[in-house]
Amino acid sequence: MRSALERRAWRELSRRRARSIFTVLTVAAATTALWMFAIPQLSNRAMAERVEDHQLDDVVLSPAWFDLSDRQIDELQAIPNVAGLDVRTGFVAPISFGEQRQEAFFVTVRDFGDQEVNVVTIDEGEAPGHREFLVDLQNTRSQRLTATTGDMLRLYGPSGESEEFKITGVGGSLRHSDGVRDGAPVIYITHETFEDLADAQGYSVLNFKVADRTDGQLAATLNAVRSAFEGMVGEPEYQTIPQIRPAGDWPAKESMENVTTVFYVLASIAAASALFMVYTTMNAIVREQTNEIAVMKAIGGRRRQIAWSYVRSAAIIGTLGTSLGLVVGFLMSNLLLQMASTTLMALTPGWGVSWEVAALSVLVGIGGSVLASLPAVWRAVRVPVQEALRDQGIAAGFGDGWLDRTLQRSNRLPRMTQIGLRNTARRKAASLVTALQVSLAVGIALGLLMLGATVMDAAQDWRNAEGGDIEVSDGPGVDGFESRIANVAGVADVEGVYWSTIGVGEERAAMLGLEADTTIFGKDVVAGRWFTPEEAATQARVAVIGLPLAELTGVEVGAEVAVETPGGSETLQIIGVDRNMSNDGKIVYLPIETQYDMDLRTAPNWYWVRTANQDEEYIDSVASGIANTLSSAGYQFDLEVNYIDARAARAEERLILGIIGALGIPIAAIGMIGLASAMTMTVLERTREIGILRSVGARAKDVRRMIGAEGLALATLGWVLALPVGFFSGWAMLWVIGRAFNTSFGLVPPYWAIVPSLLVALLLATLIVRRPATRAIDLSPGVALRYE
Amino acid sequence: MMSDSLPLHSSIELRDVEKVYRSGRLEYAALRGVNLQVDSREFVAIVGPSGSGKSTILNVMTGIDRPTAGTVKVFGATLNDMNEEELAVWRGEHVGIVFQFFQLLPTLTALENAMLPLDFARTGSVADRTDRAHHNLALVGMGDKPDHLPLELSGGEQQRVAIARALACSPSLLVADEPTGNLDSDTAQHVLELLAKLNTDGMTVLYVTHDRELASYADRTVTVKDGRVIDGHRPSGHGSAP
Ligand SMILES: Nc1ncnc2c1ncn2[C@@H]1O[C@H](COP(=O)(O)OP(=O)(O)O)[C@@H](O)[C@H]1O
Ligand SMILES: [Mg+2]
Repeated sequence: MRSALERRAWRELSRRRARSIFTVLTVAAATTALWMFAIPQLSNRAMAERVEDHQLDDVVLSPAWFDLSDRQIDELQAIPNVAGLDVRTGFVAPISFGEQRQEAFFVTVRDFGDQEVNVVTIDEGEAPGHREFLVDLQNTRSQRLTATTGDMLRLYGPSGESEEFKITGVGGSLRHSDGVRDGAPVIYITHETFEDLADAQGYSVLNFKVADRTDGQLAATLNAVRSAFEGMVGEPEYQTIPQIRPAGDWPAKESMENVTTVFYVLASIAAASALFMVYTTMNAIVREQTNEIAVMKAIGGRRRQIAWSYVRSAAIIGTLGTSLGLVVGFLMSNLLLQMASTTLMALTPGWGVSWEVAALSVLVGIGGSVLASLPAVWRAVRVPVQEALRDQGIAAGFGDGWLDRTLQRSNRLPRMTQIGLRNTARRKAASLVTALQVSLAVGIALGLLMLGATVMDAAQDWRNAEGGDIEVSDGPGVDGFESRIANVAGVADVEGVYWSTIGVGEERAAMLGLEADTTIFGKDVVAGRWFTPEEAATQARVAVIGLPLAELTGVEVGAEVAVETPGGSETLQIIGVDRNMSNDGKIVYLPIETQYDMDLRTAPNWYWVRTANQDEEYIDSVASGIANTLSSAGYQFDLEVNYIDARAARAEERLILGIIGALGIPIAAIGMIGLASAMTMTVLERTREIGILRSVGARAKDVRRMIGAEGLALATLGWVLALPVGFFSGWAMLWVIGRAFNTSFGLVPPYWAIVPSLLVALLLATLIVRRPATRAIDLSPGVALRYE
Repeated sequence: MMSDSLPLHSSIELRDVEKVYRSGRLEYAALRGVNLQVDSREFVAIVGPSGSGKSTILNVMTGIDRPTAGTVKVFGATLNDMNEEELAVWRGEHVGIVFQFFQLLPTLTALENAMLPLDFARTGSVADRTDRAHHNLALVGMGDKPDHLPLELSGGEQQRVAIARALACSPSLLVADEPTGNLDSDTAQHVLELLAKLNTDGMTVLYVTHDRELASYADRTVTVKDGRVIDGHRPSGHGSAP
């Protein structure tokens, strides 16, 4: 047999169905939010599988150049504990697709049909044969190179000669694909093709993986491979020390983890706001029942028994909500993961469950609901019976304070509007909580807008900063470069700049020497000033610092900063702060003449070209013109067309904005559930009052006006609170993302959204209160009057 | 029974009214064939044991509740045919209701509560409405505390404000469900005297009470038991039932 108290807990839920459903949804939202924490784990698991599939190497050896016979390679592969070993060549060469010319990264594969490590998979078309190309999947994803299966690519030789090659398919490799996002498109060819084209033999890297990497096994195997290898090729000159992949590491793990940080921040905000909603909802439920609690006490109920009965209701709600949240959370986390990993890593992971997160959501969903109800239950069971039983005992509290008196004097407003506003003021705590709910929903939406706008703006700054339309860099100390470029048809302007590195405190930064009156560089000074031609002429030690670097190092305008340059230690006076994001904003700008003096140079090492016309095809043709002029003059040079970078940057921006959007939408949805729930409960609490009004002749529109006034007042109050909430949540997200990507952002608050967000809040409030208001109006007053 | 020959001049007429409450699987017949006529300007007390259906009869009569079967006519209006909105408007014009628990709006002052039905009916200017509310408050003896909120008033005072509110639109019918239930006996007598005075001034008044002594203020006492009217005795001078 169930006790009467137990039955009360259950019936309570069915009696207030709408409210129970909202509360369950709220708990479900909180649990769902927790599932965002599962994404990193799921992605690691998916990657671990992928590492296995692709036979990712454990060690990379990069000797300058070496040759091995197939038999020698077999011998190396046979060394104990070597699970797979291969040698490859990587090189950079200019290619063009149509008129679009750029540098590409080539990787050679000895035999596509028999790869032991760093397997290059064929995802479309077929493996390249002799003198054929396979392009990486990421090339098109990053918008670096749009050529695909069946297209022809032109490859340029060192002295300008070129030949076209056919693309047989699209593929990818865990080790190499990630390189695309950092700069150049990746192309795979057979090693034979390379030997044929280069008219040379040999390899540049040796990769291997081991069967057992525990207890120094990896180091022992590395020694064995190294000594066998050195026995075969003599004393190679290594480019770097052997690169050992840490256990559990994979390429692009860092970018994935950076994105994960964004997930964590947004998930925390979502979970926190959902838990807050659970707390306020539980509070509202218990508050409504103060009268009933008093009755139970009056007939001998002990505090503990009564409290237990309410805790039980909370537990039931928690269990229902958690069950729903588990299902939705599972779906959402997997869908978001699929989205992030297909775009970021060209990888479609299988569906997975995180049992840790499942356990956590059960704990938080059920435990959180119970805990959230405790403070209210605690207070309610302590209310004196007499006070609670008086009909208006708990409803009291209007009439004191300046707000109430002001509202009482507001005789000019229509009566129903007055009642609505006074009701809002009467239950101050409840109204404030509802308004907070609104402010969370609206504020987080504003915060996400700020996040998006700031990221866009940073990307914009990045694009504006550098290079004009075409960039040409040269080997050190060549003269006549600039004048030759300037004479090419279609070149409107060319500027020489000098790029080198600098140490500021702990930070490594870029140092960019510019003309004082540069027109190609888009100055965006937010504090202080730019340097003058006079300062440039006297080689003054003055510099403008990038905003992110200034924030990371705490340097301000006017400071004297000690820096390490290639030419030695120097002291620079900071005269301004610039917001451009070149080198992620970790940069110092100074007169090129000053830099010459510091670095002992006499000529630029980088030329920025602006073309007469911004059309992409036109830029391509000017680029070919420059390339032809320079190569026929016998110069060595690298040439880059900026719109390709800009397009890749836009693709990355879209990705980040897509992720922010995909995460933002569930979070905004959670906020909306809270808003709808709070608003609906506000109206339901008025049911009895609406019954009275209908008894004394109120028409439907009178009631609607009262409810509407209350809804609009709450929405307006919520919106006012949403402004700081939005700013601080946006700031917090950007701060965390800045930390993750080791940069900082110039905040771009979405001022344009302030007024529309008020309108949206008002509209939402109006729409949301409509349904419960209609229900209360349609109720016959007899029923409404019995509603407590 | 009385159902066969209803006098045609009845202003209020309940015919074969049944009311069944359903809650879940349970059904309860609160009214089981009520027939009742009340003339214009009558002063009627409804008595009967608790749970017998007194409140239900009043609620059906004012359109606050709908009968499951039977017809309800009040001053020519057939309530069965009206929707909630029409009922609300009709009540505002013709009926004043006084509740046992007063049911004043807690955020409105005594004066504002008394004005509320006038606001709904949109009669006259705001100044006119204020005058009338003041007048009605004075009539019930509450002229001195117009700016008090309900919480600042005693139970008897709240009930008098509730009566002033019921009088706002000069209704032809005033119903009061245990108006004295929450009041001490002295205050209760004052309230009944007030109702008697309103009746003398021409209003049809029905009220529910438990108290035999308070029932004696009325011209006629209707006794309800188990959802039926068992005794509709009319004192001489008001016509009679068979
Ligand atoms: N909303 C309701 N649901 C179920 N039963 C009800 C409801 N309202 C009243 N009743 C029942 O109808 C009967 C008559 O109620 P009522 O008219 O309020 O009696 P009273 O004569 O005490 O005023 C009672 O037995 C009561 O239990
Ligand atoms: Mg009753």
